[in-house]
Amino acid sequence: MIAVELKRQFRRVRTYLGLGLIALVPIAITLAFKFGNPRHGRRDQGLIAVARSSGLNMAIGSLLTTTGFLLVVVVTLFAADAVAGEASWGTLRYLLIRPVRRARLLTAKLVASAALALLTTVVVVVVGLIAGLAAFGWHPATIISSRALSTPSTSTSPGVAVPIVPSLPVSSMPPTTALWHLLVAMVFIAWSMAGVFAFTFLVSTLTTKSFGAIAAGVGLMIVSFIFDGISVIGAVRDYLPTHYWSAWENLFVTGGSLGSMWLGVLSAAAYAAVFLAVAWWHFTRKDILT
Amino acid sequence: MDSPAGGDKVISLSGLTKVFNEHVVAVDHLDLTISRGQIFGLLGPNGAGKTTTIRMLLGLVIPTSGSIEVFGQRLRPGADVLARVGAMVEDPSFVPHLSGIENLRQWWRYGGQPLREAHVEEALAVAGLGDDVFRKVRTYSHGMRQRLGIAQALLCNPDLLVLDEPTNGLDPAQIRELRQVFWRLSERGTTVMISSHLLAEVEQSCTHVGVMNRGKIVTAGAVDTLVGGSEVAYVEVDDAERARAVLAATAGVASVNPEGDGLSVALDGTDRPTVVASLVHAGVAVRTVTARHRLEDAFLQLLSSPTAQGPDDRGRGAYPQQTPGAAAGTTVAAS
Repeated sequence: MIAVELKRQFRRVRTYLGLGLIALVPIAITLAFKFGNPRHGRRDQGLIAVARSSGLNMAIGSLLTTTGFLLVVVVTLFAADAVAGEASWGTLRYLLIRPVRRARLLTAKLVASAALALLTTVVVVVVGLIAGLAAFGWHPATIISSRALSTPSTSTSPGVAVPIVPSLPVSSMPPTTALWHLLVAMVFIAWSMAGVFAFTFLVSTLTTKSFGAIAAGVGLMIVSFIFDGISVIGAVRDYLPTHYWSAWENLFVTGGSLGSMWLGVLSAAAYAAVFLAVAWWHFTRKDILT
Repeated sequence: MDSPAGGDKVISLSGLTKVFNEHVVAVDHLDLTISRGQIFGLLGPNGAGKTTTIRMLLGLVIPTSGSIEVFGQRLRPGADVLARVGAMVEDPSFVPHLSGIENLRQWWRYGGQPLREAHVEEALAVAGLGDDVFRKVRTYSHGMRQRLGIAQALLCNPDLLVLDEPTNGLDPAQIRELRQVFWRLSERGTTVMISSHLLAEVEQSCTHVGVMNRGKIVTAGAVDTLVGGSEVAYVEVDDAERARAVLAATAGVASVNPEGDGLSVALDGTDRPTVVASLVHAGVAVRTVTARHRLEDAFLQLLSSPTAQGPDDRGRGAYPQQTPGAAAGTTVAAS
């Protein structure tokens, strides 16, 4: 059934539009870094400032530029469409009159849409790596000192980050090690979106409008970002679904702590578990009127 | 496949009730039994609860109370017994960017059964779509979708076929073909249940009928019995009050009920000429007199009564509503 579901998704134009859109970003920023004037980038901060130094750094840069927004939009697109898409076609009722338990249909929908979400993250890394290697070559990755990187909780709010100056101490990481770190970052990023993904999936079981579910997922992310930027609320921020999203940057920072990544994994798992439990509870009892 | 122990009962609904939003009663303590080989028509105005009943029968809507048994098994959402049921619920719906045949194949696979078990050829033969099955469904007319929907319902070679308003969008020739399909299926033991708001359709297609209104079955039985039974006269007169008094005193008149602009007079042991004669004799001017059988009378009375479209229609925006007048007009013209 999961195979049928995947096949159904890969026959859709929107699957390719989503993946194509996200693939354009690494290509676009690689071109920008290759042909743009370096002097205009002097005020760049953090890891993006060293994107030119290696193809691997360019792949890191691709992740940095997409994780804040576009990656999440495409990922929520797949979650939002999972059930609401069928409801809007009117085909949901026909799938549910087959001799198959609702929980099983929902599982197939979840697995297929999660696979697409994972693929989206893979596309960013792979396209970023290919474009980066073509433009800047296979060199040791440049990593920065922890002083140069803003803390994960504030990196997405402008004005709070510590500015990096190119003269700050930077060191290099052997390319193979950097590649491994990149893979770990990819898995972490994909996993850290699980909470927002599950929330969008839940909304998808409640509505017939995929767009509404996307709006709900992206809205949750934006609200979480906003609160994460308000330092006076203190420790509450640690429980926000997006709080640890940039923790992976520590993989490319000398002396960066990886503890926040583990917290990010746990936080996403907890959010996903709660939202998916509600989705299952509701969907297996709901009246299908569409 | 024969129905298992439990006799000929294919569908058995008892005390079936559905209340939406805690106060909208869509189906109200419905009891209904449909036996093997019947072509059963669920007849009623829009908003009577037909679609909700069918949705409960297929496990789409969860009953508030009461029980549903299909082939002797209690029906739950996604129950195994649904493998023996083919259905179309309201409009046929398909994935627009896939062809007709791809839609059928994908839908079948969602049931977890291998494609070779699907009766694709037979179903397509009934649908008669020819090479159009290879076109994207997006390009289909309403009638083509309807026929593809019926093909989908026939894919499992059903022992029970449930179709909600199946003749919508079909032309008269296609309706006749569909009726023949029902008869063929019925002959080999398949039970067919259709819903309709058209009396003529049920009369011509079905062996059995249940007239439904406001969530309840008003009249049910074999179509032959209901059509061939005692007669009802519909009269329009100048003075309804006086006419009621006269008819109440006439021997052989079972009951008199106001209906629209006239009166529905149930006859039991007398005939129309006698009724007209007694009215005229008493000085009541008779404008119209029409003969009806019981099924027609039950249905038409239902449509003319102001409570037919009762308060329980609120909150059911999902269902397309049609005015009872329009439905009645079609019915009278066709019968």
